[in-house]
Amino acid sequence: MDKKQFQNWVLNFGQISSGVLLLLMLLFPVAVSVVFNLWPDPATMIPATITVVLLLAPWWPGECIGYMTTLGPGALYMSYITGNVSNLRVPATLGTISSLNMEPNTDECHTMAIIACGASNFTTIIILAIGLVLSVPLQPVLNAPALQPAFNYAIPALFGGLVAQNVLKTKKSFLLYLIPLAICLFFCYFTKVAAAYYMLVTVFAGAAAYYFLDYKRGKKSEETK
Amino acid sequence: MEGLGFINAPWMYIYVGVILLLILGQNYIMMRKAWKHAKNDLGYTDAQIRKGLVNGIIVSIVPTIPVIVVLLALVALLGGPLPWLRLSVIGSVTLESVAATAGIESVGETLTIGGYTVAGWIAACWVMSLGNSSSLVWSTFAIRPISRIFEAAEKFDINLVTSIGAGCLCGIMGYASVNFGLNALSTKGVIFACSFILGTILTLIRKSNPKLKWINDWLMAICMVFGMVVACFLFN
Repeated sequence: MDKKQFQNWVLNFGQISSGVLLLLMLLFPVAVSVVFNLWPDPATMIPATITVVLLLAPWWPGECIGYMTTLGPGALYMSYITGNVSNLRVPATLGTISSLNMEPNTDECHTMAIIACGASNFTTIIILAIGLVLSVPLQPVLNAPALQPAFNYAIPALFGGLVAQNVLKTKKSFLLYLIPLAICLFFCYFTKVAAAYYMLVTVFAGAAAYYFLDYKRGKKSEETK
Repeated sequence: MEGLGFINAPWMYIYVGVILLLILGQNYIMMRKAWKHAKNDLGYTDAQIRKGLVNGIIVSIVPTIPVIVVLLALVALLGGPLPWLRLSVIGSVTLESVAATAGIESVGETLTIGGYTVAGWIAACWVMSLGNSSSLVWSTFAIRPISRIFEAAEKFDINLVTSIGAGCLCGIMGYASVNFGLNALSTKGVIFACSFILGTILTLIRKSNPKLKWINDWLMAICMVFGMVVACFLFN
């Protein structure tokens, strides 16, 4: 199967299966309401729903465009279905492509991303199911005061290593990383712009930095030769 | 919680279980196809592909623990099936609690034990399901055209797309550094920095000794555990 055929299969299967699972998800509250004959009041439910959608919506373009080159469409479909994209699926996928020395936006990268993301999904779903079953004996462990900081700071600890692994590949990659980092810090500390919006700006800044300082410079030196 | 005995109805656990099995089935089918493509068309060995699989598992174990903590908190408030479904499917650790609160408060009740009635739970169920499902509506329809745009750009100049891809990743790293660390310098920022420094040291060691390939595979996990241990010492 060549890249195009594989890509088409991924897009078709991903879209159809996402649609089916979306329908099943939406049927859950309907099933509850039908079985127990308990329906919400649309006048109060709709505004609350819109509030939640408005909280989520700003992230969609940034995540889709920003993660498309590394996760690829297959892993993106899988990630959106299970959620926790930034804190679970992205680290699992980026860690894999880094350890296998893959370039982003290649067939290899997107193929391995499907495997890493799938493994991450299996892990999360199984652990959550076990957590639910063991909820009573697990409570004292998970709520132990001595362990709370470890759980509270697991994500920054994870991303410290992930960022180091990805930006320290070459001197150039580290120096170019400083540009979106600086822009992001500026937005965070000197503006009131929400994180979802400056995520998109930062992704475009990174793309622009590589376009001008990597691609264009590379083309110029090729022409000079 | 009077009248709320239904929130743990066995059929709801079964319904959620079926959805999760279907998701695992979808994942399995895609992974199997990707495995075959990697092996037969891209020339990867089973060992290399298994490395990706194992890495995906290892990196996901510890970050799932905060999700379990939120799950257990919501189970105590909303029963088992609803939080289990919401956190496993299109789940977001931060937003499920927000959606539940928005739903219950929309009927003038509160998300506390004894603070809401049947009406509040139904509102939370609908708001959590509809609100967060919007992400899946987006992904179902948006991923294909965005992917096609990148494919079209590849035909134009593959080097350009590779460069843009690296740039997007660079941008994501900058964003992640701030959003998951440096936006709270005295707390998250310290842990992020400690983990980054150890990651830097390990990367330099790996570069100076190419035989130490295992560092690449374990770097993230080692840095994460190190950061968590530092957090226990600093913030207890």
